[in-house]
Amino acid sequence: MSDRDTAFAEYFAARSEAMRGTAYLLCGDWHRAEDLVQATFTKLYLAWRRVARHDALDAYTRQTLVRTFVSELRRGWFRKERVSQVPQDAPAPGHGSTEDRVVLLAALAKVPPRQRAVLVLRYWEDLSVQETAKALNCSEGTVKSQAARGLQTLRGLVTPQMHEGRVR
Amino acid sequence: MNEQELKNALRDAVVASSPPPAMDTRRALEAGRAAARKRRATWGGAVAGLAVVGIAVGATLLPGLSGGSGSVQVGGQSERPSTTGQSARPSPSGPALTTTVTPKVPSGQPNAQPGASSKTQWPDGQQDRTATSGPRADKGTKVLNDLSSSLPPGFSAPDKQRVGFDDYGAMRRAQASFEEYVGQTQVWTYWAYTPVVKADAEGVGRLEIRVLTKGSTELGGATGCAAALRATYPVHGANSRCDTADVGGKQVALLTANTPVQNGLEQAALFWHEDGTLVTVAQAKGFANSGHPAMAQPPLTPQQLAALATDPKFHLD
Repeated sequence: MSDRDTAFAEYFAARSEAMRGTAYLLCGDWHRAEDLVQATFTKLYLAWRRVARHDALDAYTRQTLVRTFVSELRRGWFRKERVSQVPQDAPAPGHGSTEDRVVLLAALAKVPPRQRAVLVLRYWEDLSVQETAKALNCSEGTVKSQAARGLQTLRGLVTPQMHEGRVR
Repeated sequence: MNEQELKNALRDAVVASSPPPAMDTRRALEAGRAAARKRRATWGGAVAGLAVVGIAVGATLLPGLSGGSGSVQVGGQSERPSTTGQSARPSPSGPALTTTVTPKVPSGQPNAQPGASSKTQWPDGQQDRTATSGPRADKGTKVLNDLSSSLPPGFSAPDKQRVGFDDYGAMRRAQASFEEYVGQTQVWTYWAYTPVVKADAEGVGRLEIRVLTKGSTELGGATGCAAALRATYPVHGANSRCDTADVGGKQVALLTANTPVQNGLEQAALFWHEDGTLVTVAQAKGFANSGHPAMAQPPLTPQQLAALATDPKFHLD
């Protein structure tokens, strides 16, 4: 295995889990999330020699992931990458409030894609406004307004459906 | 819900959904290597093409510079069919350069994408993958119209507007896009989708079609359920299953999502014509991100969906 492949494999092993969580919140489905991550890391592999030693490798990968997500929404299903040969069975529901999770993911899916990306980057990835703006290639003002609008949309969708006191 | 509550809710959503096992590093590496190989092949084709053009230009200019009558043969390749599809013929008038560069057809690399290295290499003078006018675009529009007129009695395909989801574009749309060259053959996708409503019933469903013309390398020549499960998902989600439906002796792969994911299509029929043309017709009870409620049932029965996939009017090139 070449040096590039070794370094790439190590980075994938270390960071694909986190990226998959972000992708899951963006698209609401683990299979699609894996496909998004696969597409992202394929692009990363092609750019590896240029970006591997960059301090902001994570930021670059995250930016690629989000832009791939936004871009794929405009494309047909047949342009999406598939990473697994056969769909896997659904994971068993975990402990905790499944209803709340379903409600939240359903509500997130109804938030327009770019607003959703802002919410996920700001509140899941904990990125600053500046970092989020860079990832989405937009102004900081846009991030602030999209975050406010996204939160408002989410609030309107989630609050009526969750029992009082169950929103954590 | 404030910002902190959202943070907590997002964390809970990921943890409680029991993520599947970790992704396979080996597979990721293989995908990266394959993409790198493909890129090298594309650039290799482009460089070879430029070399051929350079030699041909030399053949054009040299007779003129030497005052010859054009009988000097330089750069023999210009007389042979170019493997890249680029050709240039010496101008009979000497130095006046009339080199013509046609879209590159990398016959040695069935997977190479001519458009990847230069905008001018898309077929038929296109600026990108999508045909926005001309016969290909017209064919895409016709697919949409034919799909709409193929609905059973009582159903229609109106041009509805989204309610509160303006970012998502038109609900009724057709597109013709170039896929790849395989030898001299252009492979195209005609893709169309439309909302579907039933008379005297609530809800808006979705019907979608994709025609992938013959020669595609997308599924490596596989057909039937084996290929349907390998294809990118018109229907995705857990527990997808594939059955074979018979339509007048024609075998159609019928893919059904037992647990449809949000916004996903619920059922798709895939039919391969003998020449390899693949027709996929898919449907869902609801039209995601439209603001309209879903229908109680999918617009078509599985058999109707399968029959639509075999309809000769969708056998396109």
